Amino acid sequence: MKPAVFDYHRARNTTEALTVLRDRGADGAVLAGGQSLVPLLTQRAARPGFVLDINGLAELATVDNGDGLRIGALTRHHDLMTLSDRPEAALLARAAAHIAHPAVRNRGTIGGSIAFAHPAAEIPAALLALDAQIELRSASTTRTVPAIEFFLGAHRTALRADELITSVYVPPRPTDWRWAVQEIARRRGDYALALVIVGIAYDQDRVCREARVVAGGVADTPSRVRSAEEHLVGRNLVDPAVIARAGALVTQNVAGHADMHAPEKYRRRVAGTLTRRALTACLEQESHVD
Amino acid sequence: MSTERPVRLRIDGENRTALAEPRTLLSDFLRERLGATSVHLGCEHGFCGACTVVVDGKLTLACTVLAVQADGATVETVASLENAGELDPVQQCFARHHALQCGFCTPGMLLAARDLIETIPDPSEDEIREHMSGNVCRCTGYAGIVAAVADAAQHRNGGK
Repeated sequence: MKPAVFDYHRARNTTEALTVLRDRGADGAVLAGGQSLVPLLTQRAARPGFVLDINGLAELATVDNGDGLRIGALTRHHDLMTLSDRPEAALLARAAAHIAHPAVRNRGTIGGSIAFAHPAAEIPAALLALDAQIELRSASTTRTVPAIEFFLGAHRTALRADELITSVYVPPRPTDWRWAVQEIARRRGDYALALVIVGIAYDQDRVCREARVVAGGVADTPSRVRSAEEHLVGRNLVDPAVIARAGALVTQNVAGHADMHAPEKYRRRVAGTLTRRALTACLEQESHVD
Repeated sequence: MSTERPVRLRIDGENRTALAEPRTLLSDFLRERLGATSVHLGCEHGFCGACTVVVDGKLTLACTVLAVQADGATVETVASLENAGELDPVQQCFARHHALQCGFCTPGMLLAARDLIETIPDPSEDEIREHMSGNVCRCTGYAGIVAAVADAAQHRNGGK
Protein backbone atom coordinates (compact mmCIF):
# COMPACT_ATOMS: atom_id res chain seq x y z
CA MET A 1 0.00 0.00 0.00
CA LYS A 2 0.96 3.64 -0.20
CA PRO A 3 0.24 6.36 2.35
CA ALA A 4 -3.14 8.09 2.40
CA VAL A 5 -3.34 11.81 1.68
CA PHE A 6 -2.08 14.18 4.35
CA ASP A 7 -1.05 17.81 4.64
CA TYR A 8 2.63 18.37 5.24
CA HIS A 9 4.60 21.18 6.80
CA ARG A 10 8.33 21.41 7.45
CA ALA A 11 8.96 23.54 10.54
CA ARG A 12 11.91 25.95 10.47
CA ASN A 13 12.32 26.25 14.23
CA THR A 14 10.93 24.93 17.51
CA THR A 15 8.62 27.90 18.15
CA GLU A 16 6.99 27.44 14.76
CA ALA A 17 6.68 23.68 15.30
CA LEU A 18 4.96 24.14 18.66
CA THR A 19 2.56 26.75 17.26
CA VAL A 20 1.58 24.35 14.52
CA LEU A 21 1.10 21.52 17.03
CA ARG A 22 -1.09 23.75 19.18
CA ASP A 23 -3.36 24.30 16.21
CA ARG A 24 -3.23 20.91 14.48
CA GLY A 25 -1.61 18.44 16.85
CA ALA A 26 -4.81 16.53 17.54
CA ASP A 27 -4.94 15.26 13.97
CA GLY A 28 -1.21 15.36 13.40
CA ALA A 29 1.88 13.19 13.49
CA VAL A 30 5.40 14.44 14.13
CA LEU A 31 7.99 13.26 11.58
CA ALA A 32 11.57 13.02 12.78
CA GLY A 33 13.63 10.01 11.62
CA GLY A 34 10.55 8.45 10.07
CA GLN A 35 11.86 4.93 10.58
CA SER A 36 8.72 3.94 12.44
CA LEU A 37 6.25 6.59 11.28
CA VAL A 38 6.67 6.33 7.50
CA PRO A 39 6.11 2.55 7.43
CA LEU A 40 3.00 3.12 9.56
CA LEU A 41 1.79 5.69 7.02
CA THR A 42 2.55 3.34 4.15
CA GLN A 43 0.61 0.51 5.77
CA ARG A 44 -2.12 3.00 6.73
CA ALA A 45 -1.86 1.87 10.34
CA ALA A 46 -1.61 5.59 11.07
CA ARG A 47 -3.79 8.04 9.14
CA PRO A 48 -3.01 11.55 10.38
CA GLY A 49 -4.53 14.41 8.42
CA PHE A 50 -1.31 16.31 8.93
CA VAL A 51 2.42 15.55 9.19
CA LEU A 52 4.83 17.99 10.83
CA ASP A 53 8.42 17.49 9.68
CA ILE A 54 10.81 18.58 12.47
CA ASN A 55 14.07 17.56 10.80
CA GLY A 56 14.98 21.20 10.35
CA LEU A 57 15.11 21.85 14.10
CA ALA A 58 18.88 21.72 14.48
CA GLU A 59 18.61 23.15 17.99
CA LEU A 60 17.11 19.82 19.08
CA ALA A 61 20.12 17.82 17.90
CA THR A 62 22.71 19.03 20.39
CA VAL A 63 24.34 17.01 23.16
CA ASP A 64 25.45 18.80 26.30
CA ASN A 65 27.87 16.93 28.55
CA GLY A 66 28.09 19.03 31.68
CA ASP A 67 26.49 18.42 35.04
CA GLY A 68 24.63 15.40 33.81
CA LEU A 69 24.03 14.60 30.17
CA ARG A 70 21.40 16.43 28.15
CA ILE A 71 20.65 14.90 24.77
CA GLY A 72 18.53 16.70 22.21
CA ALA A 73 15.53 14.72 20.99
CA LEU A 74 16.60 14.91 17.35
CA THR A 75 19.94 13.19 18.07
CA ARG A 76 20.26 10.29 15.64
CA HIS A 77 21.01 6.79 16.96
CA HIS A 78 24.17 6.80 14.86
CA ASP A 79 25.41 9.86 16.76
CA LEU A 80 24.37 8.39 20.11
CA MET A 81 26.77 5.56 19.36
CA THR A 82 29.68 7.99 19.47
CA LEU A 83 29.00 9.10 23.06
CA SER A 84 31.54 7.78 25.51
CA ASP A 85 32.60 10.43 28.03
CA ARG A 86 30.97 8.85 31.01
CA PRO A 87 29.47 5.44 31.84
CA GLU A 88 25.87 6.64 31.34
CA ALA A 89 26.72 7.93 27.88
CA ALA A 90 28.48 4.69 27.03
CA LEU A 91 25.37 2.75 28.08
CA LEU A 92 23.21 4.77 25.70
CA ALA A 93 25.77 4.23 22.96
CA ARG A 94 25.69 0.49 23.58
CA ALA A 95 21.89 0.43 23.63
CA ALA A 96 21.73 2.41 20.37
CA ALA A 97 24.12 -0.06 18.72
CA HIS A 98 21.48 -2.76 19.18
CA ILE A 99 18.88 -0.82 17.22
CA ALA A 100 18.05 -2.31 13.79
CA HIS A 101 20.85 -1.69 11.27
CA PRO A 102 22.98 1.19 9.94
CA ALA A 103 20.47 2.81 7.57
CA VAL A 104 17.83 2.93 10.31
CA ARG A 105 20.34 4.32 12.82
CA ASN A 106 21.33 7.10 10.41
CA ARG A 107 17.87 8.61 10.57
CA GLY A 108 16.15 7.25 13.68
CA THR A 109 16.22 9.58 16.68
CA ILE A 110 16.22 9.22 20.46
CA GLY A 111 13.05 11.34 20.66
CA GLY A 112 11.35 9.15 18.10
CA SER A 113 12.22 5.98 19.96
CA ILE A 114 10.80 7.47 23.15
CA ALA A 115 7.61 8.71 21.48
CA PHE A 116 7.00 5.44 19.62
CA ALA A 117 7.48 3.49 22.87
CA HIS A 118 7.80 0.04 21.41
CA PRO A 119 7.72 -2.45 24.32
CA ALA A 120 11.05 -4.00 23.27
CA ALA A 121 12.90 -0.80 22.41
CA GLU A 122 16.37 -0.31 23.88
CA ILE A 123 16.28 3.44 24.48
CA PRO A 124 13.23 3.50 26.78
CA ALA A 125 14.71 0.65 28.83
CA ALA A 126 18.05 2.44 29.08
CA LEU A 127 16.35 5.66 30.19
CA LEU A 128 14.57 3.80 33.00
CA ALA A 129 17.87 2.30 34.11
CA LEU A 130 19.54 5.73 34.07
CA ASP A 131 16.74 7.50 36.02
CA ALA A 132 16.45 9.84 33.06
CA GLN A 133 14.01 12.70 32.72
CA ILE A 134 12.18 13.62 29.55
CA GLU A 135 11.61 17.27 28.68
CA LEU A 136 8.38 18.07 26.88
CA ARG A 137 7.40 21.40 25.43
CA SER A 138 4.18 22.84 24.07
CA ALA A 139 3.53 26.37 22.83
CA SER A 140 2.62 27.39 26.38
CA THR A 141 4.38 24.97 28.71
CA THR A 142 7.63 23.23 29.48
CA ARG A 143 7.51 20.20 31.72
CA THR A 144 9.71 17.33 32.75
CA VAL A 145 8.48 13.76 33.20
CA PRO A 146 10.68 11.09 34.77
CA ALA A 147 11.17 8.19 32.36
CA ILE A 148 9.69 5.85 34.96
CA GLU A 149 6.36 7.74 34.64
CA PHE A 150 6.49 8.34 30.90
CA PHE A 151 5.86 4.91 29.35
CA LEU A 152 2.24 3.96 30.02
CA GLY A 153 1.66 1.02 27.71
CA ALA A 154 2.57 -0.36 24.31
CA HIS A 155 3.00 2.74 22.13
CA ARG A 156 1.31 4.84 24.84
CA THR A 157 3.15 7.61 26.62
CA ALA A 158 2.59 10.75 28.63
CA LEU A 159 3.27 12.87 25.54
CA ARG A 160 0.34 15.14 24.65
CA ALA A 161 -0.79 15.85 21.11
CA ASP A 162 0.39 19.47 21.28
CA GLU A 163 3.83 18.62 22.68
CA LEU A 164 7.27 17.84 21.35
CA ILE A 165 9.88 15.83 23.18
CA THR A 166 12.76 18.30 23.20
CA SER A 167 15.47 16.59 25.23
CA VAL A 168 16.41 13.80 27.59
CA TYR A 169 18.36 14.50 30.78
CA VAL A 170 20.52 11.83 32.38
CA PRO A 171 21.59 12.80 35.91
CA PRO A 172 25.23 12.33 36.90
CA ARG A 173 26.33 9.28 38.84
CA PRO A 174 29.53 8.25 40.60
CA THR A 175 31.92 6.87 38.01
CA ASP A 176 32.18 3.41 39.53
CA TRP A 177 28.92 2.19 38.00
CA ARG A 178 29.15 -0.68 35.52
CA TRP A 179 26.49 -1.29 32.88
CA ALA A 180 25.59 -4.08 30.51
CA VAL A 181 22.95 -4.64 27.85
CA GLN A 182 21.84 -8.14 26.92
CA GLU A 183 19.13 -8.93 24.43
CA ILE A 184 17.97 -11.84 22.35
CA ALA A 185 16.32 -11.65 18.95
CA ARG A 186 15.84 -14.13 16.15
CA ARG A 187 17.85 -12.12 13.66
CA ARG A 188 20.26 -9.24 14.00
CA GLY A 189 18.36 -6.02 14.20
CA ASP A 190 14.98 -7.55 15.03
CA TYR A 191 13.07 -6.21 18.00
CA ALA A 192 14.22 -8.06 21.11
CA LEU A 193 12.19 -10.98 22.37
CA ALA A 194 13.66 -10.05 25.74
CA LEU A 195 16.05 -7.30 26.73
CA VAL A 196 17.81 -6.68 30.05
CA ILE A 197 19.85 -3.67 31.10
CA VAL A 198 21.80 -3.98 34.33
CA GLY A 199 23.77 -1.38 36.21
CA ILE A 200 25.71 -2.03 39.41
CA ALA A 201 27.95 -0.03 41.70
CA TYR A 202 30.16 -2.04 43.98
CA ASP A 203 33.15 -1.65 46.23
CA GLN A 204 36.54 -3.37 46.04
CA ASP A 205 35.18 -6.44 47.81
CA ARG A 206 32.46 -6.70 45.16
CA VAL A 207 29.71 -5.87 47.63
CA CYS A 208 26.89 -4.21 45.72
CA ARG A 209 26.11 -0.68 46.81
CA GLU A 210 23.35 0.08 44.30
CA ALA A 211 21.75 -1.69 41.37
CA ARG A 212 19.43 -1.17 38.43
CA VAL A 213 17.75 -4.06 36.64
CA VAL A 214 15.45 -3.17 33.75
CA ALA A 215 13.62 -5.68 31.56
CA GLY A 216 12.17 -4.86 28.13
CA GLY A 217 10.17 -6.85 25.62
CA VAL A 218 8.55 -8.91 28.37
CA ALA A 219 5.63 -6.59 29.10
CA ASP A 220 3.81 -3.66 27.51
CA THR A 221 6.51 -1.30 28.73
CA PRO A 222 10.07 -1.66 30.04
CA SER A 223 10.16 -1.95 33.81
CA ARG A 224 12.57 -1.91 36.70
CA VAL A 225 12.59 -5.21 38.54
CA ARG A 226 12.83 -3.83 42.08
CA SER A 227 12.93 -7.22 43.77
CA ALA A 228 16.08 -8.09 41.83
CA GLU A 229 17.62 -4.70 42.59
CA GLU A 230 16.88 -4.96 46.33
CA HIS A 231 18.24 -8.49 46.41
CA LEU A 232 21.57 -7.38 44.98
CA VAL A 233 22.17 -4.44 47.32
CA GLY A 234 24.47 -5.39 50.19
CA ARG A 235 25.30 -8.78 48.70
CA ASN A 236 28.62 -10.03 47.44
CA LEU A 237 28.48 -10.26 43.67
CA VAL A 238 31.28 -12.81 43.50
CA ASP A 239 28.83 -15.40 44.84
CA PRO A 240 27.21 -17.19 41.87
CA ALA A 241 24.12 -17.88 43.96
CA VAL A 242 23.55 -14.14 44.28
CA ILE A 243 23.67 -13.74 40.50
CA ALA A 244 21.44 -16.75 39.97
CA ARG A 245 18.85 -15.47 42.42
CA ALA A 246 18.76 -12.10 40.65
CA GLY A 247 17.93 -13.90 37.40
CA ALA A 248 15.26 -15.99 39.11
CA LEU A 249 13.64 -12.86 40.57
CA VAL A 250 13.44 -11.31 37.11
CA THR A 251 11.83 -14.44 35.70
CA GLN A 252 9.29 -14.50 38.51
CA ASN A 253 8.45 -10.83 38.58
CA VAL A 254 8.22 -9.49 35.04
CA ALA A 255 4.67 -9.13 33.80
CA GLY A 256 5.12 -11.36 30.78
CA HIS A 257 4.08 -10.96 27.18
CA ALA A 258 2.98 -13.43 24.50
CA ASP A 259 2.69 -12.90 20.77
CA MET A 260 3.47 -14.74 17.54
CA HIS A 261 7.20 -14.27 18.02
CA ALA A 262 7.57 -15.97 21.40
CA PRO A 263 5.36 -17.20 24.24
CA GLU A 264 5.29 -15.64 27.69
CA LYS A 265 7.10 -18.46 29.48
CA TYR A 266 10.03 -18.28 27.06
CA ARG A 267 10.42 -14.53 27.43
CA ARG A 268 10.35 -14.69 31.22
CA ARG A 269 12.88 -17.48 31.35
CA VAL A 270 15.20 -15.83 28.86
CA ALA A 271 14.96 -12.55 30.75
CA GLY A 272 16.37 -14.35 33.78
CA THR A 273 19.23 -15.78 31.75
CA LEU A 274 20.00 -12.39 30.24
CA THR A 275 20.06 -10.88 33.72
CA ARG A 276 22.69 -13.38 34.86
CA ARG A 277 24.75 -12.76 31.74
CA ALA A 278 24.50 -9.01 32.14
CA LEU A 279 25.60 -9.13 35.77
CA THR A 280 28.52 -11.39 34.89
CA ALA A 281 29.48 -9.03 32.08
CA CYS A 282 29.43 -6.07 34.47
CA LEU A 283 31.80 -7.86 36.83
CA GLU A 284 34.17 -9.04 34.14
CA GLN A 285 34.48 -5.93 32.05
CA GLU A 286 37.38 -3.59 32.30
CA SER A 287 35.55 -0.64 30.83
CA HIS A 288 32.35 0.78 32.18
CA VAL A 289 29.97 -0.77 29.68
CA ASP A 290 29.58 -4.09 27.95
CA MET B 1 -2.72 17.79 -8.31
CA SER B 2 -2.87 20.93 -6.23
CA THR B 3 -0.96 19.41 -3.33
CA GLU B 4 2.04 18.55 -5.47
CA ARG B 5 5.20 20.50 -4.92
CA PRO B 6 8.57 20.52 -6.71
CA VAL B 7 11.35 18.39 -5.30
CA ARG B 8 14.81 19.44 -6.45
CA LEU B 9 17.63 17.05 -5.86
CA ARG B 10 20.94 15.88 -7.26
CA ILE B 11 20.81 12.21 -8.27
CA ASP B 12 23.93 10.32 -9.35
CA GLY B 13 25.61 13.58 -10.24
CA GLU B 14 22.72 15.11 -12.17
CA ASN B 15 20.39 17.91 -11.01
CA ARG B 16 16.77 16.93 -11.42
CA THR B 17 13.40 18.39 -10.43
CA ALA B 18 10.00 16.72 -10.40
CA LEU B 19 6.68 17.11 -8.64
CA ALA B 20 5.58 15.04 -5.66
CA GLU B 21 2.62 14.92 -3.30
CA PRO B 22 3.62 14.98 0.36
CA ARG B 23 2.61 11.34 0.70
CA THR B 24 4.83 10.17 -2.15
CA LEU B 25 7.67 8.00 -0.85
CA LEU B 26 11.20 8.76 -2.00
CA SER B 27 11.45 5.19 -3.32
CA ASP B 28 8.50 5.71 -5.67
CA PHE B 29 9.64 9.21 -6.58
CA LEU B 30 13.08 8.02 -7.63
CA ARG B 31 11.67 5.15 -9.66
CA GLU B 32 8.64 6.75 -11.29
CA ARG B 33 9.48 10.42 -11.57
CA LEU B 34 13.22 10.20 -12.11
CA GLY B 35 13.48 6.80 -13.81
CA ALA B 36 15.91 5.39 -11.23
CA THR B 37 14.56 1.87 -11.42
CA SER B 38 17.64 0.39 -9.76
CA VAL B 39 15.87 1.38 -6.53
CA HIS B 40 13.89 -1.78 -5.88
CA LEU B 41 10.71 -2.16 -3.85
CA GLY B 42 10.64 -5.19 -1.59
CA CYS B 43 8.73 -4.81 1.66
CA GLU B 44 8.13 -1.05 1.47
CA HIS B 45 8.18 -0.80 5.24
CA GLY B 46 11.82 -0.46 6.15
CA PHE B 47 12.77 -4.05 6.75
CA CYS B 48 14.29 -5.66 3.62
CA GLY B 49 16.78 -3.04 2.41
CA ALA B 50 16.02 -3.50 -1.31
CA CYS B 51 15.37 0.24 -1.63
CA THR B 52 18.66 1.25 0.00
CA VAL B 53 20.16 4.46 -1.41
CA VAL B 54 22.60 7.07 -0.09
CA VAL B 55 21.14 10.47 0.85
CA ASP B 56 23.54 13.29 1.72
CA GLY B 57 26.27 10.71 2.21
CA LYS B 58 24.26 8.46 4.55
CA LEU B 59 22.93 5.00 3.86
CA THR B 60 19.13 5.38 3.77
CA LEU B 61 16.05 3.28 3.14
CA ALA B 62 14.21 5.23 0.45
CA CYS B 63 10.84 3.79 1.47
CA THR B 64 11.15 5.41 4.92
CA VAL B 65 11.60 8.92 3.54
CA LEU B 66 9.00 11.19 1.95
CA ALA B 67 10.11 12.60 -1.40
CA VAL B 68 9.42 16.12 -0.16
CA GLN B 69 11.97 15.60 2.61
CA ALA B 70 14.65 15.12 -0.06
CA ASP B 71 14.24 18.59 -1.54
CA GLY B 72 17.78 19.96 -1.81
CA ALA B 73 19.43 16.62 -1.10
CA THR B 74 22.11 14.66 -2.90
CA VAL B 75 21.05 11.12 -3.69
CA GLU B 76 23.18 8.24 -4.92
CA THR B 77 21.81 5.00 -6.29
CA VAL B 78 23.82 1.99 -7.39
CA ALA B 79 24.29 3.78 -10.71
CA SER B 80 26.79 6.01 -8.90
CA LEU B 81 29.20 3.07 -8.63
CA GLU B 82 29.76 2.91 -12.35
CA ASN B 83 32.87 4.61 -13.60
CA ALA B 84 32.90 5.26 -17.37
CA GLY B 85 31.44 1.88 -18.18
CA GLU B 86 33.71 -0.02 -15.79
CA LEU B 87 32.40 -1.96 -12.80
CA ASP B 88 33.38 -0.62 -9.40
CA PRO B 89 35.70 -2.96 -7.41
CA VAL B 90 32.82 -3.84 -5.07
CA GLN B 91 30.74 -4.88 -8.08
CA GLN B 92 33.63 -6.93 -9.45
CA CYS B 93 33.96 -8.73 -6.11
CA PHE B 94 30.25 -9.50 -6.09
CA ALA B 95 30.56 -11.03 -9.56
CA ARG B 96 33.66 -13.00 -8.65
CA HIS B 97 32.15 -14.47 -5.47
CA HIS B 98 28.69 -15.28 -6.85
CA ALA B 99 27.15 -12.77 -4.47
CA LEU B 100 24.01 -12.42 -6.57
CA GLN B 101 21.52 -14.66 -8.38
CA CYS B 102 18.31 -12.86 -9.24
CA GLY B 103 19.91 -9.51 -8.46
CA PHE B 104 16.89 -7.98 -6.75
CA CYS B 105 18.69 -7.24 -3.48
CA THR B 106 21.95 -6.37 -5.20
CA PRO B 107 21.69 -2.59 -5.62
CA GLY B 108 20.98 -2.22 -1.91
CA MET B 109 23.68 -4.76 -1.02
CA LEU B 110 26.30 -2.91 -3.06
CA LEU B 111 25.56 0.44 -1.47
CA ALA B 112 25.56 -1.09 2.01
CA ALA B 113 28.83 -2.85 1.21
CA ARG B 114 30.44 0.36 -0.01
CA ASP B 115 29.22 2.15 3.13
CA LEU B 116 30.75 -0.57 5.29
CA ILE B 117 34.19 -0.65 3.71
CA GLU B 118 34.39 3.13 3.83
CA THR B 119 33.55 3.03 7.54
CA ILE B 120 35.45 -0.03 8.77
CA PRO B 121 38.70 -0.58 6.85
CA ASP B 122 39.30 -4.18 7.88
CA PRO B 123 35.92 -5.63 8.85
CA SER B 124 35.62 -9.00 10.53
CA GLU B 125 33.01 -11.44 9.29
CA ASP B 126 30.85 -10.49 12.26
CA GLU B 127 31.15 -6.82 11.43
CA ILE B 128 30.24 -7.50 7.81
CA ARG B 129 27.16 -9.48 8.80
CA GLU B 130 26.19 -6.84 11.35
CA HIS B 131 26.55 -3.93 8.93
CA MET B 132 24.74 -5.73 6.12
CA SER B 133 21.98 -7.07 8.39
CA GLY B 134 19.50 -4.58 6.95
CA ASN B 135 19.69 -6.12 3.48
CA VAL B 136 17.74 -9.33 2.96
CA CYS B 137 18.61 -11.83 0.21
CA ARG B 138 16.32 -14.69 -0.72
CA CYS B 139 18.66 -16.41 -3.17
CA THR B 140 22.26 -16.70 -2.11
CA GLY B 141 22.34 -17.69 1.55
CA TYR B 142 24.68 -14.73 2.15
CA ALA B 143 28.00 -16.63 2.12
CA GLY B 144 29.00 -15.25 -1.29
CA ILE B 145 27.97 -11.75 -0.25
CA VAL B 146 30.10 -11.90 2.90
CA ALA B 147 33.08 -13.20 0.91
CA ALA B 148 32.63 -10.48 -1.71
CA VAL B 149 32.51 -7.71 0.89
CA ALA B 150 35.58 -9.06 2.70
CA ASP B 151 37.44 -9.20 -0.61
CA ALA B 152 36.31 -5.70 -1.54
CA ALA B 153 37.50 -4.36 1.82
CA GLN B 154 40.96 -5.85 1.33
CA HIS B 155 41.09 -4.65 -2.26
CA ARG B 156 40.17 -1.12 -1.28
CA ASN B 157 42.52 -0.89 1.64
CA GLY B 158 45.51 -2.45 -0.05
CA GLY B 159 45.34 -5.77 1.74
CA LYS B 160 46.87 -9.05 0.70
